[in-house]
Amino acid sequence: MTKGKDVLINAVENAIKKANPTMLNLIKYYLRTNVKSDFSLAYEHPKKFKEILTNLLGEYSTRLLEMIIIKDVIVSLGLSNDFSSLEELVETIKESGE
Amino acid sequence: MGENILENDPMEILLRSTKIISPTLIQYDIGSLFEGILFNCLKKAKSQFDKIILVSFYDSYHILYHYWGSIFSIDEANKLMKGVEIITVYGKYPIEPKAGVRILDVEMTRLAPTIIDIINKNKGKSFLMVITGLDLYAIDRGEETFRKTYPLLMILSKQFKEVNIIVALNKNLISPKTLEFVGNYSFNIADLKVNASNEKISYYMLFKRIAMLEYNLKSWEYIVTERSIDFKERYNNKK
Repeated sequence: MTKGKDVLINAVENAIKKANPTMLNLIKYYLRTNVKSDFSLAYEHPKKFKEILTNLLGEYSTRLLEMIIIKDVIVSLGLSNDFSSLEELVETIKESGE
Repeated sequence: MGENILENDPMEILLRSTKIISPTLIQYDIGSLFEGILFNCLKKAKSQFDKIILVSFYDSYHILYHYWGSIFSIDEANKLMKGVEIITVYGKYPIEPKAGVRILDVEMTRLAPTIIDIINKNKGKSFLMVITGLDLYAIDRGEETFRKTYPLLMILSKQFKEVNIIVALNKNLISPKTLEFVGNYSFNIADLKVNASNEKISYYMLFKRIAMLEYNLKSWEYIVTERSIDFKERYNNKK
């Protein structure tokens, strides 16, 4: 696993734990049963990951989580840019080879 | 409206309490479908206030509008927003013209003067000002900045007695210190909770503080359906 992917997955888990720990297992279960995936979906297909979250949590809560995740990853990887979406962030991580 | 009807209608209790004294805080868990609650709240409020202003930070109105359109219907969302004045701050999405909806894009420094301008142009009318996206603002700008901004908005209900304020704010993603700070400005607090167990999600609303004192600490379970929100009182014991 790349460092960037690792950091992103941790950021997703931390954001959900912070937001509502009781949702953590439910989201994991939902990802596993509906798309046969886990939090790595945020790195592999960020748009799809957001769609799954939106189905479960609503669009507004998904945007909140997205902002928290982006902030967390920027700090952890020491990135200087600002990103308006998870897709933009993942693209940059992938391009940088992190 | 008889008291029995009110027992089953916490949104009516919340709006009545907001009219008695505001600001009112709707604090919510992530995933508590607060968008649906807000839809219901605005729908009811339209017949009770002369003018509704939606102050949107970070395109929150856009997110809500889209969500309401998807869950309820585009027609319902348009109908709800018709006549509502939207003031957007720190918006990034281009403003799409919508029939009957006035959307003003303003700089932060122009926010309070713009609101005051609307109030002065509609003298004698009652206002409900709903503020969304302040949680996004706190995350992006930092909580210290948020704590400086918040009182400046809340003071409007003190300055203009015809202005009633409802703020919707996520309670988990800001620190307890900031949440307490916000609570100190709120005369009514509705807490939206979500509980997930055994792959089942349940939602409920609790009045932590409410101007209609007989409903203090009462709680309702709710279900958001395509057509409406159904509330069911959970228990009467105060704890």
